[in-house]
Amino acid sequence: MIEVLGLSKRFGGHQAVDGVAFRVEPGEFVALLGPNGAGKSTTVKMLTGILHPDAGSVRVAGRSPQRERRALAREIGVVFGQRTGLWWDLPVCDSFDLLAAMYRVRAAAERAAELRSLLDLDGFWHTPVRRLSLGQRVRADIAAALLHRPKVLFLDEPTVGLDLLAKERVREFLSGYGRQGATVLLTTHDLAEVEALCGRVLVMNGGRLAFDGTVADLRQRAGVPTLLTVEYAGEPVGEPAWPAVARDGRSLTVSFDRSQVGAGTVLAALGELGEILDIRLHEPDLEKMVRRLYLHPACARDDPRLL
Amino acid sequence: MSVLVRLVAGTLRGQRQYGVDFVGSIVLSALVTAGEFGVVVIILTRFPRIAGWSLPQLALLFGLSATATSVYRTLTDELHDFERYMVNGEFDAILLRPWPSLLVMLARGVNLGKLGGLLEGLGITAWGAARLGLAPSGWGWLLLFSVTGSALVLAIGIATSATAFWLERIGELQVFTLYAPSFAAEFPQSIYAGWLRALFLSAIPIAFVNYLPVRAMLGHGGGIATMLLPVPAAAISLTLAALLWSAGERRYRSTGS
Repeated sequence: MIEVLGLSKRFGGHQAVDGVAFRVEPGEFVALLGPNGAGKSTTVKMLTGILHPDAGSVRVAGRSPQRERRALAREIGVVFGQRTGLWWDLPVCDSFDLLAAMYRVRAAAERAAELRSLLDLDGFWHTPVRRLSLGQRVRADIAAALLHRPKVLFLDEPTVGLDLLAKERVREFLSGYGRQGATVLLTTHDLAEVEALCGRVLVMNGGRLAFDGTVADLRQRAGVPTLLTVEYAGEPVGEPAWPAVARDGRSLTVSFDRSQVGAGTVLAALGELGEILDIRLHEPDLEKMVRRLYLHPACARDDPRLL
Repeated sequence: MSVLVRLVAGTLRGQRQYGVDFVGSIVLSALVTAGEFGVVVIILTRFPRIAGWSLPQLALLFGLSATATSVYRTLTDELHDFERYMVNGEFDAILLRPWPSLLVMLARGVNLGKLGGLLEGLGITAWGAARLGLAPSGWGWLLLFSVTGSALVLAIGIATSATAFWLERIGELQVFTLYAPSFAAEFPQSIYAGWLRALFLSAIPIAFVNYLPVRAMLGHGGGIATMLLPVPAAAISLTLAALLWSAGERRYRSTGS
């Protein structure tokens, strides 16, 4: 559904995107992560026809965003969380009427009613966009981006600035939308969102793709240690084979690398130090793993699973 | 076409949200045009003619120039402010629509608040034509010049806005390509230096808006061929402006998020 090969873009002396390549298959919900200035937005803008790349090729829904921008616009939906695609001075319903005419939406009234219900727009359907709260505006923007039944949905930080409740409502909707087999590319800094929604993660850093894999891959491969805490019946006897980060009477916490050794092996070895009553496994959180990729992209490139 | 009409209607509905501004801007644009014509009248109280042109003849020049400029401002409220789209990255949203970006910009920018100037420009042209006792065919020619003149100023405006793809800031350039030439077009071009007249026949083809065709129509020089010159001039200018826009669109840099 999305094919990117050797994509590059330079702004003056700054190489914003440098030889990025990836594919997104139909039905995938993919997160595009990276620190500020990593090249995420530039990449998305090249995929949606806003920017023209200096080198490389892009195809989205079988079309070139640069040569077939207008035709592609009918195949994709785009939401920029920080900007609205709606008519600022018009009621939400009028924006939908105009978009339906522009995109020649079939059965537009039914489609709008469906989206109104799914995203709970009824309470502000006749309110001018400039009077909406940010949460309402984002929901209306998502509905507007889906009005013409796009094949691919691009979401650029859709929940930025939203409070927890509003964020949760948007996330719930997107989760349901993803389960229907939609193809979505989500740019975000919210890692909870990534864990809740995305089967696959692309991490960009310095204009390059630093990682392409599942969240589980990222967990396993990023090299951030997993912690295992074991509660013994008595004080453990002897030294564990992995670094002990905490030892307090009958409790012992060791740190190990999941890419080198499985948790079962570690647990079996710790069992030789005494009778185990209870265990707790602390997976490294996604934020730590991604931060590590941002700071040490080389560690990612050394691993064949990390590009 | 029906989509375009709906888009324009949507833009106008949006503007009606600010009712007082709307009426106020119609009055203001009429006052500005009246004030400018007042300057010409005051000059003529000291000098009965300018370069051999009487007040009613000058009214034709002024009226056609004001009409063309007002049509441009009525159609291009957003395009005229295009540097905002560059500086803030607002052009992103335009490129996401399945329509030519220039058309979307024009549809978003219709502002009937500028109609005051247009009506006054037409009125001043009609006053000049009546005082000169023009035959019906003369009125027909003036109508044609109004259309071609508006297309020419629109082309100059589009080309100027398109330079924002390279320059980003175009406020100063608009003074040079739009405001100053529109003012210069209110007087006979023969009062200007040779290089300026050459400029108004080429890069900023404002001479085709009124001076050349009206001069020919009044028998001051040139014939029917000169009176028809604005038609190809407008077509060529609009084509070149659209090509420049298209080239600029490919250079669009957007902004950081």
